[in-house]
Amino acid sequence: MNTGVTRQYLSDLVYKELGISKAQASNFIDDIFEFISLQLEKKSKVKIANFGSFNIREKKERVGRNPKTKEEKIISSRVVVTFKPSKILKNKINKNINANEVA
Amino acid sequence: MKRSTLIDDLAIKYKYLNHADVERTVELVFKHLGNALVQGQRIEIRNVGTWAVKTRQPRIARNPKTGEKVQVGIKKSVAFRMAKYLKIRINSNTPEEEVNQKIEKMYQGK
Repeated sequence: MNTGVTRQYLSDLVYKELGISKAQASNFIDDIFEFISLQLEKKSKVKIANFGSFNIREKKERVGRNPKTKEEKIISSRVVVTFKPSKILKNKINKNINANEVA
Repeated sequence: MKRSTLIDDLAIKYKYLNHADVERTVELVFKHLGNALVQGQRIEIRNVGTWAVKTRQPRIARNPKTGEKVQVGIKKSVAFRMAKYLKIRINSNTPEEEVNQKIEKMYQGK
């Protein structure tokens, strides 16, 4: 069941849906994510309806510790991308909880 | 950026496809991505990141206003981990102008 979804899977999907060549379908998928990445590079939010949104968070510099050596190190300020599933997706995911998982 | 902006971007680049086809296909792609998560599957998109469903255990929470205890059941959420490549890209502080030029080049099919 846990095969996962990859670019390949999506590109096959596009190939079947649009009837373009496999190479074009593969580029199409790459471009979906490239256009999204470019927006994130500009530090702007990306919201995909019915799926979720990608937000940009600027993290401040802080002191972290290596839990093993207890060594203190400065973690430099950085930008991270967070993902928040849309309400619709979140509800669908939670509808699927089955009984044996609750135990 | 919204989904419709993404669709417009793709339609500019893929001039041989009509807008409605691009729209339908993008919707289909994200529908499949969402369904994969609903089924508990992982998504792995190289150079972008991975998505996985995490199960949060039931817990007893408190209503912060009243201090009342509330039982919160098992909950599932989506964890996204960005790829190293994306991390480097967004931390490179590329000027907006330069990114816009890249988008322009994409439109021209480069």
